[in-house]
Amino acid sequence: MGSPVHQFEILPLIPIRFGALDLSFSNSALFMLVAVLAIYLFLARGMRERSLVPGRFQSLVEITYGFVANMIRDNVGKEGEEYFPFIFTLFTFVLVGNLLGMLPYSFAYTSHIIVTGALGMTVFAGVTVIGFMRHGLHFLRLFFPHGAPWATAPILIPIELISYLSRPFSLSVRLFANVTVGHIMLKVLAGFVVSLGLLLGVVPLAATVGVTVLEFGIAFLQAYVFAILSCIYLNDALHMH
Amino acid sequence: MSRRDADAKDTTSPQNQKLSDFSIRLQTARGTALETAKVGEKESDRLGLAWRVGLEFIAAIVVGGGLGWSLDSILETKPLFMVVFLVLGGVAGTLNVYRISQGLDESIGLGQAKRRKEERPPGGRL
Repeated sequence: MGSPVHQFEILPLIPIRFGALDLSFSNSALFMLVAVLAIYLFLARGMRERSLVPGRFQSLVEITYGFVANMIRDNVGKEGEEYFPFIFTLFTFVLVGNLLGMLPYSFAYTSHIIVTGALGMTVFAGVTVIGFMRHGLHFLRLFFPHGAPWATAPILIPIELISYLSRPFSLSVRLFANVTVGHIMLKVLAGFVVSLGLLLGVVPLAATVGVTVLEFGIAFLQAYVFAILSCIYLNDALHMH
Repeated sequence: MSRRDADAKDTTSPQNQKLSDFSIRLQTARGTALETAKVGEKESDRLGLAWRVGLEFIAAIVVGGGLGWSLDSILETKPLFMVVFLVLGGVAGTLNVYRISQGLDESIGLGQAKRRKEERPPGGRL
């Protein structure tokens, strides 16, 4: 039986090398491509008929759209609407990545911190740039609480700055840790089924089924958390008091 | 008087009897389904919260330490800034945990987060 972390191994499928740079097309990249294609096909199939009374696929597409649109409207407001494409892409990419990872023999690209870290840093950098573009240096006022005595600034500002810089870190670790832990747990539990045999193996099998359901829930929840936190950061950058 | 009211009064007919019976059964089934869903959600919510508290605390220390370390390697003042920023990171981590415990969201800056909590309708989360 393979080790429980064997499933996270990156395998170069098409080796591409530029000198010391390894740009191989890996299984991780393949599943990202599959996810993007799946999202595209889902949206295209759902919107094909454009009927007034939606069918099954169109309903699903409309629910997804409405879910993200409401999230932005509630957390960012009207100005957030122009960032809808980005938040929608982020949400669906993470969600479909998590769900694809639940398929046997597939690869969960959200189980790699480099992927979630890149997503988190993109959000973080983007929000910071938007904040400075909209408010200039005034954006830095956010790091100093209103009404605090000026003498405390040399301590308060670095603390708030570190607290701010730790956001993308905790955001990406949260997604990565949830997905990785879930997959390891599933593999270990499923391993017990084989080693305990037909009779006793029923117990870990039941546990595996339960954890699988839980993992589906976590797949949705983590995608939601990722998207809603992006919305909150975006709101701060857009609306300064 | 709407049609529904008229129908509700006429409970003697067997068809309506069946319907109202069904709606009662549906409501109880829905109620229990909702309740079990809520309990399960709470359990995983608490575990998630425990994870988050630990992670937020450590994240700030790691970021603070890293920031101090890189400042040191640029300015060649080892280990002055690393020590200072590790302490500041610890404070920032405590601040992160405080924010979670107070139910503040992840807005930039403590003042902003507090204001948003006041603006939020009671009962709403995140």
